[in-house]
Amino acid sequence: MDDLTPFERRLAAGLKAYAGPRRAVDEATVAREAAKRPPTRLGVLARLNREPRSGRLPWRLIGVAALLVVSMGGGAVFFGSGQTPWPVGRGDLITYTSGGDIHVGDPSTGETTAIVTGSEIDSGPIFSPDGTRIAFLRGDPWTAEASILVVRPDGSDERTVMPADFSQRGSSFTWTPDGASLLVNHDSEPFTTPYFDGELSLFDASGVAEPRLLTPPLPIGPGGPYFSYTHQVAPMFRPPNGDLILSHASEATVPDAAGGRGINVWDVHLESHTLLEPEALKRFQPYSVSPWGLWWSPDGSMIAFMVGGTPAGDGLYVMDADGSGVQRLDNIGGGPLAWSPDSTRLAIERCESTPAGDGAVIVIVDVISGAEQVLGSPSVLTKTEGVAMTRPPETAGQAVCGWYSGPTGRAWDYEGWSWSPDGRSIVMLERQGTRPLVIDVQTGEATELPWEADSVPSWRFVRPSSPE
Amino acid sequence: MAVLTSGVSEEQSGVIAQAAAGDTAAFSWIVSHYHEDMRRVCLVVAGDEQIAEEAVAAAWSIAWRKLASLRDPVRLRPWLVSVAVNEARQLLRARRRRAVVEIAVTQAGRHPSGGEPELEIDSIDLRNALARLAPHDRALLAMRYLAGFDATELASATGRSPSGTRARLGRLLHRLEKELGDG
Repeated sequence: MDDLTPFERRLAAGLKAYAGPRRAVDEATVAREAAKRPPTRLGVLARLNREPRSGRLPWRLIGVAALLVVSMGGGAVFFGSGQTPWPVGRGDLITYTSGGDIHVGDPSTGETTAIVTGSEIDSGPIFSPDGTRIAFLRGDPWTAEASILVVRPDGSDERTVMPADFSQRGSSFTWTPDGASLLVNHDSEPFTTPYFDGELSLFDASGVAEPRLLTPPLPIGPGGPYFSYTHQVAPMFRPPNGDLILSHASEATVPDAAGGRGINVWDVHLESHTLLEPEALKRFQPYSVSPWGLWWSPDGSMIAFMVGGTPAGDGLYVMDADGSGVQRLDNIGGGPLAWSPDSTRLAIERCESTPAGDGAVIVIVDVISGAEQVLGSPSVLTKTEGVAMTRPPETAGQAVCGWYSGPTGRAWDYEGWSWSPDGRSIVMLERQGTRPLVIDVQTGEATELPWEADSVPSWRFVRPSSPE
Repeated sequence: MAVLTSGVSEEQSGVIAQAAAGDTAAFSWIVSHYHEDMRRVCLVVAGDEQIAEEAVAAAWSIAWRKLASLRDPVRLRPWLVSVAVNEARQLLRARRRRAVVEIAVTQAGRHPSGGEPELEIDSIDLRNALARLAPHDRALLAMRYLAGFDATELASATGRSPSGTRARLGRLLHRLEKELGDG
C-alpha cells in the first residue's frame, strides 16, 4: 500500500473508518458453527416460459410490422435504384442495444424499432444463424442477476433461456450453428471458487429443456478454469458445423519445461466431449507466452490469436486450423478483432499516439499478404476530452488505449465493430450513446447511422426462408 | 496479521490441509486470521452489519465443506473473501426483494478516525458514494483498500486479469475522486 496516491490513502482511511475497528473473534465457536451449518442450495432453472410476460405492449408488433414494411420499401430502393441513404450492402437488419432496450434497425433505410422495452437493462443481442430469433442478456452481466432471453425479431415470443442466479458472473453466450441452442460460458454452482469457473452449458433456445453441462466430463488440471472469464464464446465454434471450440491452455493443463502455454482445442460434438491436443497447437515456442483471444475464420480454415510476452512484444498471429503455418501479422496486443466474412482480412484496433492525443484506429490486415489499411474515419483520432488516469509506468510515453477516461468515465477505445455481410463495410461504435459509423473499407468513407446505440451491432447474415 | 502470499510457508499449507481434512483446530486458526477481513469487506459491500455477519457465517460453512477444493494455498485469502462477498451479495439481493436496504448514514463522527479533517473523506459523502456503486465494485474497493489485497489477490478474487482489474479499479477511483470533490 506504499505506492498509493494521496486520494487512495484518504479513501483507504475512509473505508477503515467506515468498517470500524477490527474485532476479537471466537474462532473456535465460529469453526464449530461452520461445521454444523447445513449447506445452502442456490437457483436451478425455473420454468419461466409457461406464462407470457405481463406488461408488454402490443405496439411493438405494430412497430415491427411497420419497420418490415419500411424495410421492404427501403430494400426496393436499394436494389432498384442502387442508391441508399447509408452505404451498407444487403440491406439486412442489425440488432443493437440502446438505453437498455433491444432494437432492430435497417441500415439501408435508417429505420429502427425497439422490440424489447421496459425497465430491465437488456444488452448483447445476437441474431441466430437462421435469422429468426435474437438472444440477449438481461441484467448486469457481471452479477448473478443476469439472465439470457430469446425473442423473435418482431419482439414476439420472448422466452427466458437461462434464468437469473444460474451463473455468478460474467455469462457470455453464442448460438450453436443449428440455431437450436445457446452455448453459455458461465460460473458453476455452488459459487465457491474465487475465480470464474468458465464452464460451458447448452441451453435449449426455446427455453423448455433443462440445460446440459458440457465441461465437467472434460479433464482439467489444477489451478485453472476451463475457460477464462473474458473468453469470447462466439468465435470459438469452428464454422460451419461447430464441432470444435478453442480455449486457452493454462500453465497447469500443458505442463512444459520451458513454461510454454498454448491453445487447447475441445471437441464438443455435444455427445462426446474430449480435449484434443494436437502437438502443433500445444504451445508457441520459442516464446514462453500465453495466447489470448482466439478466433476461427468464418470458413473454419484458420485461427487468429493474440500473443503476449514475446521478445518482440505483443502480437497478432494467424495459423492454419491444424496449427501449421504460424504467421505474425502485427505488433498489436489486445483489443477486439473481427474476421471479414470471406476470411481474407482481419479488422483490429491499434493504439495510436498523435499530437492531438492518444486514441485508437481500426486497421484492416490482409492475412495473406500482410498488407495493412488504416481506416480513415474522421472521428478516429479526435478523442481529446479524456482525462489521464492511473497509467502503468511501463507504458509511459506510449499510446495506451483504455487507460483514459472521458467525462462519463468511459474509456477511449472503441466499443467494437462488425463487418457487413457483404464484407464491403464495417459498422463501428466509437463509444456508448453515440451514432454508429458505417465505414466503406475500400474508400474509407464514413457515414453516420441515424440512431444512437450502446452496443456493437449484430447483423442478420441470413434472411429467414420461412416466415418469422 | 499473517497473510498467505506467494511466499506461503509449508506450515501454513499444512494447516490448510489439516483443516480440509476436518481438523477443527486448524480450521479455527484459519478463522482467527481471516474472519475480520471477510466481515469488514462484506460490511462495505452490504452496508449492513447483520448481512455482513450472516454472510461470513455462511462463507465459513462453505469453506468448511469446500476447503479441499482449494487448488492453491496462496489463494486462500482471496478465496475466503470472495466466497463471503458472494454470500453478502446473495443476501443483499434477497433482502432487497423483500424490502429496501439502506446504507446507514450517521451524522455523528464525520471524521471518525480522529485525524486531520482536511485530509479525510467525509464519512457521509463516502457512504453515499459507496451506495451508488454496484456491490461488486464496492467489493473491489474494499478488497484493495480495506483488506490490502495486491493485484494478484484482486485478480484471483474477482476472476479477472490483473490488467482488467487495474483498469476497473482505475475507473472506479476516477469516478470516486470526482464524486468526492477531488477530481
